[in-house]
Amino acid sequence: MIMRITPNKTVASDRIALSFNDVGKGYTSDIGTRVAALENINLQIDYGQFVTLVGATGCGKTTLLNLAAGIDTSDSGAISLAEDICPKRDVAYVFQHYTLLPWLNVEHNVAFGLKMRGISRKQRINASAELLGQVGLKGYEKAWPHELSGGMRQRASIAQALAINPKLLLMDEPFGALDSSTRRDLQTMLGNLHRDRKMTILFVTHSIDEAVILGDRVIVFSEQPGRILEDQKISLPRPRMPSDAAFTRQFLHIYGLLAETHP
Amino acid sequence: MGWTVIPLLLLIIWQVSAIRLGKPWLFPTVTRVLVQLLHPLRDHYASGSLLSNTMISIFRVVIGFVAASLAGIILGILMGSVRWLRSLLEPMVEIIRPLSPIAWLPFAIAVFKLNTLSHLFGLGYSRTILDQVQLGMLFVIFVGGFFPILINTIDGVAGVRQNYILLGRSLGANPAQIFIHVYLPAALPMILTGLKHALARCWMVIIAAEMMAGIDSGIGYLLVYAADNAAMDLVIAIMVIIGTIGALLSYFIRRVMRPFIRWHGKEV
Ligand SMILES: Nc1ncnc2c1ncn2[C@@H]1O[C@H](COP(=O)(O)OP(=O)(O)OP(=O)(O)O)[C@@H](O)[C@H]1O
Ligand SMILES: [Mg+2]
Repeated sequence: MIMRITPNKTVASDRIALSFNDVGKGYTSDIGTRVAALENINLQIDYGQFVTLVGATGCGKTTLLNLAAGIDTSDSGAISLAEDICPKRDVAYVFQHYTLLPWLNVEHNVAFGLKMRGISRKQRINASAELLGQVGLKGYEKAWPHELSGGMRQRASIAQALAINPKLLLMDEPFGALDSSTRRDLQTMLGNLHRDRKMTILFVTHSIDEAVILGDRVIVFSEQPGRILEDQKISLPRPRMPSDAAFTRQFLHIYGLLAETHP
Repeated sequence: MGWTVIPLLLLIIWQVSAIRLGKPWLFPTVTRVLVQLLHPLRDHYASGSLLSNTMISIFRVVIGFVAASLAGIILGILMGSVRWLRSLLEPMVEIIRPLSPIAWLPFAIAVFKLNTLSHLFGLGYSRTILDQVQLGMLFVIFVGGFFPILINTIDGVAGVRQNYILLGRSLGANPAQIFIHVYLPAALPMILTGLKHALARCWMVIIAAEMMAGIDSGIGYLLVYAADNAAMDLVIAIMVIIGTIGALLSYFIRRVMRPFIRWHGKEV
């Protein structure tokens, strides 16, 4: 199904945006012990798909995103991006921590990617204002990152990532530190943004609930070293209701898988 | 105005004991010192006034400090980000750095003689303030300011949170842009701390350097000259000026720095 054009770089398929083939990755810690972070990862993500990834802490979720972003390199296997997704221009990454540049105000944080592309000041400030409107941060253009609440910061980070108009958006537990109602709001917002833009999203979370609410597919990771336990399609209609019986069934199924590896 | 209580008390004790002691060449009254401070334009021993000598000292410091800042920041950014350059130069820096800048003065004067900036610019004796800026002096001020700036810049650049570099890269910044738009602003708080220490050090160094033989202007020179002439009121007036200017320089640089580092320590 997948034909590699340049090894490790692109795949020729009009369907697949990102693919992992037999990827393995380990780290050597500072004290010299060897840690296997990922093993045997085979994963193909279609264009426009919203894929969520759940797993216990330390199971290699961030590692997987770093590989996809090209920040880190795998020890074995190949990671390929579709030909028309340029790793430098079309991939945005919302990190788990320190997601905004603290010396820039919100407006300039959002405009940063456009500035790097040489877009004129006027244009990027306009684009920034529009995006901030879309993520519900109108009026906070001049605020500093440290002046924002956790939820507002995540909104700003999402706007910052969207500014470069990414084809692939990687997100690492972006809502991990938020209270449940803020979380719900942001999930709805992200769901709508995904619906309105043709974007492929790989979204890491440790909340099963969140994974099922957002994902077209949920990838369930085993405990360290991370392996794919299950790749579950979620075809529930949106917006999804956690109170729904079908939702609960899928939730419990994943819960069971994770509990098994968690004796 | 609570902070004025203790200084006022001390001034009163000083005044009373100076009057009772009655040896103004050893321990002048507050009022005699004040009289000196209130006449900043009075010529002393034909070597200029308090004001003119203070201006000369400040001028020397500013030139030396600016040179030290440019050199320290540029080399610091390079050493902080290019690992092999750092391991190549750091041992040498660590050996030279603990040397008191004043220890360089005899060497500097031997090398530069008493050549001044105006010689350097090929003006000969130009009858401007440039005649008062001896290259040897500039050299020791430079040495005094250079190392604090260099060390802080290196630490600042080397300590930039990896996350910010990755964030910059993921938003499409190329290496040069990462340098200008990530390394530099992220290291700025440390760089500015270096500048602050350096400026304070330069001001200390210049006073000491001007006290050395062969120099005939500057507030440090006037201080020694006044002491040799038992003009203790002038000596104390000069000490007050040196302290005040030091405080003003420090206040000034902090004010200039503040908007750039408001975010520091509040990273989220
Ligand atoms: N730079 C590194 N050096 C050494 N070990 C590392 C490094 N980065 C990650 N690891 C190890 O690899 C494993 C996977 O780490 P990773 O950060 O991917 O986990 P995670 O699933 O994102 O966890 P969390 O949910 O807590 O964020 C962990 O055991 C971790 O200790
Ligand atoms: Mg993680």
